[in-house]
Amino acid sequence: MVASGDIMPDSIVGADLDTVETDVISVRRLMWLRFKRNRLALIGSIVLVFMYLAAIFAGFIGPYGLRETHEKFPASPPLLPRFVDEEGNFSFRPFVYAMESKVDPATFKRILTPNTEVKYYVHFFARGTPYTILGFIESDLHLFHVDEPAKVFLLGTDKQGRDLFSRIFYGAQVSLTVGLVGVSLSLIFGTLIGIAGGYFGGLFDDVSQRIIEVLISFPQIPLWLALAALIPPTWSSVQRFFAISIVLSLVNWGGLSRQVRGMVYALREEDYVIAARYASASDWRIITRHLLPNTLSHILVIATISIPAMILGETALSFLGLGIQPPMTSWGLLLNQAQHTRVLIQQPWLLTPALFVVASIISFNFLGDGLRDAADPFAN
Amino acid sequence: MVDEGRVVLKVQNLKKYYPITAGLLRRVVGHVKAVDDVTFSIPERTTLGLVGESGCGKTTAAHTIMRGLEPTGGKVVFHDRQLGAVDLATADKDTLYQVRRNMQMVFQDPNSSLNPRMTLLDLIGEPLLVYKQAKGQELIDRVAELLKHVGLRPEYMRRFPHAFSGGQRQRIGIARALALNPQFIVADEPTSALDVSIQAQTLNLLQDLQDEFSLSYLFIAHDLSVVEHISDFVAVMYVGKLVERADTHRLYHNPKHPYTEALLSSIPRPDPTTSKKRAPIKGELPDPANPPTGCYFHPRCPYAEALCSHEEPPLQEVEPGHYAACHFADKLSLRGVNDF
Amino acid sequence: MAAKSNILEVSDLKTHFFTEQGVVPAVDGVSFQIKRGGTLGVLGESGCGKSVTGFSILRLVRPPGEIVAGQILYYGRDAVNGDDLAQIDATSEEMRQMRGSEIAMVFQEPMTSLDPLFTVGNQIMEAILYHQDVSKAEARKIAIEMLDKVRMPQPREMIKKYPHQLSGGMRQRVVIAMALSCRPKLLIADEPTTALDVTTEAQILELMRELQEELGMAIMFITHDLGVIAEMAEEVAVMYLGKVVEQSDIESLFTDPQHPYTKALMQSIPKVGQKAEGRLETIRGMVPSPRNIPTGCPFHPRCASFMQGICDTKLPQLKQSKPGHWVSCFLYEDGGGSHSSTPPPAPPQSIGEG
Repeated sequence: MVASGDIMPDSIVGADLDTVETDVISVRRLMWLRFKRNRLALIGSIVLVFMYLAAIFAGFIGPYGLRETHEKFPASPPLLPRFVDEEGNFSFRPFVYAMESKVDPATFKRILTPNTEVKYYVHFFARGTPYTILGFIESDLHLFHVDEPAKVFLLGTDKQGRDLFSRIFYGAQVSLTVGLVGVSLSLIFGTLIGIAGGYFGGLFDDVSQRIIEVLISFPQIPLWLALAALIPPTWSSVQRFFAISIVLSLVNWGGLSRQVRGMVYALREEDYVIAARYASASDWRIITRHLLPNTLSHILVIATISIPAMILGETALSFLGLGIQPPMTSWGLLLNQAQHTRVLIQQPWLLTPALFVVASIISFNFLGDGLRDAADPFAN
Repeated sequence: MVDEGRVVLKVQNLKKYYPITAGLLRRVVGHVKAVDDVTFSIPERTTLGLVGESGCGKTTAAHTIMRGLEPTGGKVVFHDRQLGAVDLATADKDTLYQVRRNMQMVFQDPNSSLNPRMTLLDLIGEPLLVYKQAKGQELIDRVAELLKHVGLRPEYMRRFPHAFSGGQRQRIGIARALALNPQFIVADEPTSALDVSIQAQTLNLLQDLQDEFSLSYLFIAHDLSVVEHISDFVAVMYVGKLVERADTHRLYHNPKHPYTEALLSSIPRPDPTTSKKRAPIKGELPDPANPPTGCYFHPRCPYAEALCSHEEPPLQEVEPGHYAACHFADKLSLRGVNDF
Repeated sequence: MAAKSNILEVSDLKTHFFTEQGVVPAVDGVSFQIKRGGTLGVLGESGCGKSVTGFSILRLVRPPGEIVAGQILYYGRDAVNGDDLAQIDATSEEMRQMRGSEIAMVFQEPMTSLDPLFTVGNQIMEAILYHQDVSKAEARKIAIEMLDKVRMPQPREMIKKYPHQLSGGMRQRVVIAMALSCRPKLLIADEPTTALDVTTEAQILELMRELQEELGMAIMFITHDLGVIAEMAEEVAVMYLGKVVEQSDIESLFTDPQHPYTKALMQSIPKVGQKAEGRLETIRGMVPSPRNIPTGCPFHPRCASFMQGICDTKLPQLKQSKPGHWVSCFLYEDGGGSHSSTPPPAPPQSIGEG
């Protein structure tokens, strides 16, 4: 090669006079700028961050344990902290009255009457029921706590007398992760098959496409039910959790795989892929250096958008009694108790897990929207 | 016309057909002859301009020559620096791997020919890495040198293509094609996506590099003024076939095919004093799946006679080194570029 | 007052885009006139604001773009006082009637104006029915007539075709037929032949010239191609970075180009039939980003006649350098001294009109 010239022809001099300095930002930064522009996506991601933190620190946020029952308070309505006592005096510190629980001999209904003599103040960051975080950090510190015999049930209790507020966060641990685990599985499976089919084509592509077509033609819920019914009842809760994730992803990977295949199929004919081929780049190099980086952001978008379906799937399965089994709990399982109209009328608080389902799904959809904007940083 | 030993590429009767299928069983009912019996050769250190209107098969011909597409028939003999004469149409994978060091391509659209997720270092360094010619610091040095050759600052090598203008991106594409120090470059409309003032810079760069590295070009374009400027020889394609081939001066000033004359008359001249009344040729490009009988150009040809509608004219040497596919090539006296 | 001989007078038009990264002055103080039945060519490279100028006249600029200053006087309806299009609400019924029946536009890519789901006949008829008070049968008759006018073979058959059944050249003919169906007095053609092949381009240019002669509309022809502008235009405005840098009649522009940018542009294109050995003249550097316009004369960093301390500090004004030829360059400040008292931006053709 020729050494860099001392006298350069004018085709070279000045060719780069005016590079625009503002354009010197990486693709990643461009994507972040795009994402930030979508307000809803930002809100969605903040909500999700809080939800996942709450799920991790479920033991800390809930005043009672997962399996802690309050025999005298089955199906209790919310018992909220109060600021004003019976005499109308205002107190800065929230407090509760202890409740006398009696069964009305005539109606067999449980009647709660407050004992207004003693105020039990709500303690913040107080010691209470022991729990573990992430399976290994032992603690008994709670966000708030009242001394026995007083109780605080922010969202009431179920018919076994378990605090719904505490159980919702334990349920979140399952409901919010089953989607992630399921999506990761279908991501791996779907991406591998999608890339292989889209890039190499041929018989493998034909066969895998037909299988996917059959798979996505099935009505989802019956297919889920059939697969979930295959899970041996003897399996432990954790095994069951992963089995449910696999069931969900088995139904879900096909759609993802098709989209990946479509993208790879289009990119395969892009000039830069052809240029790489003319530079004798191997298939492995073309896939890992050219196709994957240019599809990855889209794949993540598709994955994010399919998480809500997984959460709903788990909720549906558990609601129907074929998903998560006690003693584990999930939002679907919590809602399982609210199957009868009678329950809904008498204990409407049992429906609150549904609000969490809705909030998480909307947030994931908003996040997906924002990621979709970000995935195409060069579009207008 | 040119001594065999000094020819870098010889394309003989190259064909690329696409089957037209019909019905559930995908029965082949015909062919689109995208490239049909194309023959030309490119002497070393020269540029052959391949012109034609959209859909005439010039880009397909380029990719078939590069063996990005499998030819249906014909030969593509490349005189490789190391291997000697190789027929690319039938070459095996190993041979192709070796030959591609010496032949590269520059693409039309500088936006789609550069991977947006790769830095200049990765883009230009890719061929060097694949051929294990350099890595680490040496790779960085080689890429820096290549960037200097195409007029970009080496400091830019960690930037992404989107930070550059169209003209600069085309320079990046040229640097990538140069990385392995090839003998021959296929340039597919390298300036048609660029602005007028950037086009001249890019054409000059290609010419400078040709002198510097003894390159030969197959230059594909639809802009006849650009082709005239850069080419030593010109071949004209119409619906998959070569209709005329000669050295640039003779083809532009003394065309032997009525289609070439029609093309030359259609060029808008940047000169308001020339006559604005140059009756352009009538009609439309035919559908390549269903071309006319006989000479493909006869329905639009002002000189067509009965013979033209049923007999296909072969590409014949009308004068030494001047080939035309017209029954009346030696009888017609057609107007050259300056006669309009 | 007598009727104006101009159909359009644009003065000091500024269209800016307010983006997150800053203000982009896409059109920054542009003035020109188009004579009734005349052709103004607007020449410039990508990003010079030539298309935005066309969009501004039709009030098709959408946020974040906005016309921030200037007048667009259209003398098609009111030949004496004119209508200032810049003052009409872009979404009003009045403006909608203006588009199409008074001023029409043809774009580079014909499919941007054609709906793939309707036959071409339907689409031309729709335009006619929107602007003219005619029956459906009459509209159909006019549509066939228009297709015949644009030299479509068998127009009666053609109105039944869908856009995808036509070639690029045929589609552009349909778009022109649609644009001219309501007999506009001004046609804005934005690179109408750039996407076409050279033989088709020649056909379309020929067609536009013939139709202009026949129908008498004025044409604003926007293009980057010096060859096309030489074929089509009578007057030319050369634009660079949102400003008109030179304006004159076509002969004078090509025989005696004055602005260094125009000169360089003309020298940098290969001229067919005059193959010269060796290299092309080039303009160094590239068009700067419109977010980052150089101070002084916007062309000074690339200019071969750059004068330090003058070109990079002051903005040159468009001034008459010789009769009928206007240029904004300090090289001509002295020569054009007798005219330098004219307040900028001086509208070239309106002298003696007042």
